[in-house]
Amino acid sequence: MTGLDVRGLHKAFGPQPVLTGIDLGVPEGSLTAILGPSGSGKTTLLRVIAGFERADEGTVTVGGRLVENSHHALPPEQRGIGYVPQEGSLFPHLTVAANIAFGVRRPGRQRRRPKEEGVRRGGRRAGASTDLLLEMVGLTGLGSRYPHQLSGGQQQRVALARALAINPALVLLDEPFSSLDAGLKASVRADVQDVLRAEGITAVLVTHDQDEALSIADQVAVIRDGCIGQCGTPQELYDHPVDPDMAQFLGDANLVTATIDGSQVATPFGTLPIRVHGRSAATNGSVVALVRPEQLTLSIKASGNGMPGTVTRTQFHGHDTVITIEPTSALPLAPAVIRDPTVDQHLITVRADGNLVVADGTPVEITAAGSVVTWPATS
Amino acid sequence: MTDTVADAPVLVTSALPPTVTARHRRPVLLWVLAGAVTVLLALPVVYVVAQATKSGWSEIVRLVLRSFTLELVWNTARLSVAVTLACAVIGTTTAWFVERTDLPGRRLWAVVVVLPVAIPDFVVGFGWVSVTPSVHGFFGALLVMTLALYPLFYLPVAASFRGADPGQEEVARSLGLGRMATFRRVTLSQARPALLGGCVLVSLALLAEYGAFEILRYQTLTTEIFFESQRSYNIPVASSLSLILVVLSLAVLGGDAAARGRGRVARSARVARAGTVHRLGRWTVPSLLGFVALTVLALGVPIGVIVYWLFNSGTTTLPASTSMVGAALTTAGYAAGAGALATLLALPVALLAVRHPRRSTRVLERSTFIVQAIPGLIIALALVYFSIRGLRVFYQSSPLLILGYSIMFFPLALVAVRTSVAQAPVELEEVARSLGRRPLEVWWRVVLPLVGPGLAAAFSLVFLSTVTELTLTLVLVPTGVQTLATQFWAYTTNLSYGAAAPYAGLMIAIAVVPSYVLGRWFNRLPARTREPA
Repeated sequence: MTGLDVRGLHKAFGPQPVLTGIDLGVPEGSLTAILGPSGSGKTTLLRVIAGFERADEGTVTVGGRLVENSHHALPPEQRGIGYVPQEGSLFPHLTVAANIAFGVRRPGRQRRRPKEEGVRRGGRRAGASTDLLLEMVGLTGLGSRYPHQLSGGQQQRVALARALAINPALVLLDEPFSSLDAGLKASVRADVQDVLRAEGITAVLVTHDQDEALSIADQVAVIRDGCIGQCGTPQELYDHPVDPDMAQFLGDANLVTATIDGSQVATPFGTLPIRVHGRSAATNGSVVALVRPEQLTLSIKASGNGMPGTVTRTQFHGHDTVITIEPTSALPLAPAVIRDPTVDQHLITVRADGNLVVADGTPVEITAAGSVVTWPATS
Repeated sequence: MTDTVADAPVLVTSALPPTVTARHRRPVLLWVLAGAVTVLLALPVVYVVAQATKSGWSEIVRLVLRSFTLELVWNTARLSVAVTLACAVIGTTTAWFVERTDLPGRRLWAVVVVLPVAIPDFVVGFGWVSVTPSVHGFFGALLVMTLALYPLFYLPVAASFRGADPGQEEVARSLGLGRMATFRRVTLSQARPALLGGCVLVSLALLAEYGAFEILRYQTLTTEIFFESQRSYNIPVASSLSLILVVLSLAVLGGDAAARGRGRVARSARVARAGTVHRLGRWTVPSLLGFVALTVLALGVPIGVIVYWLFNSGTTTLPASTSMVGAALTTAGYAAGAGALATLLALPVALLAVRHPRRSTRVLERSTFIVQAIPGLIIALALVYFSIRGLRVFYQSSPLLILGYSIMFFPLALVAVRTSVAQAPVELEEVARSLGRRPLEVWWRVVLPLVGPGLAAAFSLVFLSTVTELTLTLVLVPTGVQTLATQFWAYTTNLSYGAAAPYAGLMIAIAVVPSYVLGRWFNRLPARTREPA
């Protein structure tokens, strides 16, 4: 059973196309993160699913029930989709309890709903009391407070409880953690993930933070130029990005020019096996290879096996240290394939153990382990 | 599931209702309504231009260049500048003492110094003239108008002191600036938009004032326009003077826009932290004496005079209480009508400006503020002109008077309504819809509770201003109908001060309640959400 299915979705604001053919399937009970840079259209996609914007083309199906196609659209109040906006958007004139109960209809006043409704609706939590929901999001006893008396993290939790109170077939979260500070972000994120998991709720979360997407979601869909660039589990995306740009977007990446030799690739760091994947496997000759920083190892002693270079910067993160190295001889790097202009294309990034201490200017040698992803050099 | 989804559109389409989401349709209805409001507001301008072109430009130039006209312009201009400066000094000083020092009784003073706003200018004039006839001419007008208008500076400047980022002052001190230098270079520049706003409010009020100047025997453009149009029925002279008056008012607005354009007040952080409170020390007593003196002059004199006449005039000159009750009810009725209508007229313009912020809607919203520059007298003359020519039935009718008030006080209503509409961001409506509530329910349960207080404030602002309005009322009031202001005026011009006093007292009493609401509302507002009026 698919929790959410989006097909061929197009949306333009005036002459400006925003979404150009989105296809996305979200399995029931799973959490999908839609990841994209700001302005990529991810919020627009969420708003179309929620029914706040109308799609120009395409269909949206929620829990097997069609809610939108190019001719017809259900208004938001008939979709049964919980929505958690960026800043929480709690009703400032209502208490926390009244906020949560806002969408709950008293028994007897329940309005007739179409029969195509998802199986989960129909009352498992129909009478779920405000107290239960408050407890679920860890805010027991705060029901009589007003939104302005809550911290940012608490407001987000209330917004989630309010969305869950209507027993939704799907919950949409629009960058729900972006306004929280780092420490709070991690804990609210974990709590939200727990609640969604425990309740088995289908959820779609929009974010521009790739760490967030990779750590919280069952499935990540990267939105790029108005369509889904790649969709898969976090591991799939990290290990098998479809192109160098995607590799760069999903984390630190060293992209170097390498030469294919059978099932091996000759990189500046040594010869490594190819991770068989898609079209890259068929390539011969010169390719672009992805080596993640954690695949690289530094050694101070010269062995002649690795690539020599000089340390230019170290950033200590506690659990690990990120070291930037300038290669001694000009590297056959692959700048042409990287679209992000902020990436310094001449330096190599290495992620090393947290207790490694190297002074700037130290000559080092880099070797690599594991397998690499390759793409045709001319892509 | 994928297969069924592919089939689904065909199967279920018929079960779907047609699109209900209207969000991305162009807000046609709003545009039509807001456009109609703008046209209505433009009527006085159309009138002035029509009159001017009718009498011909050479005639206008001849009338304008008369030495008498130039004297009127000089009278008007020098008083405007003098009163604005005096109000700026008093308003800013009192605001600083109330907001930034440990002056004893700050909360009480915050209310007391605003109260003169509830006393009509012509009542302040009446008070001073009946104390001593030596208050007249330029200095009399300067004294009376300063005491009557300084709260127009106090209110925005105090709000800006309250909302200003205290961090900037702290940084200035840490960079080596002394107290005075910090006040001059940081505090005042933070209050710059508020000061400019105060200048505009005071000078426009002065340009439009009639009653107080008539009592103080000080001739300005407005008093002369009133005389020419209402007494000697010399319409060409009245309209060419109106043209000058409108040009002067527009110059005030233009100067404000130019001055605003050059400086930006950036606020780096939204802090709830209060500003530094300066300790007065040995200056406490002199400061308190200053506040007491100001209160005596601005409140004590007019109210004292009214109370004196209430107890000391022969019973024979006291008007029959039935006519007082009648006038009070009429006034309250007109004021309520004007409050409701102005708020209603402001709604589409505010909704368009807040909900659909585009260049076009900004221009539309801005254009409605031009009404500010049109004195009530000219609005009244315009309505007379159009009702005589177009809708004869409305001539000398209560609806026309209420319409006049609504046009005159539209900018007040718009400022309040705009702020209140911004209290209910569209995201809240969307969330409410997603929680299963239909649009009407959403309006009732979310939008109205959030917007309501602001609408009440808009209503009160207009109500208060209407109760104490004299000039437009004198021109448009239906024959035989008496309001508090017209009755007061009738007795005052006959020098029956004792008979006039109770009407002034009633006017102030009726105006105090809304002005309290207004004060509360200003206090609650953070400075940055206020619309630069």
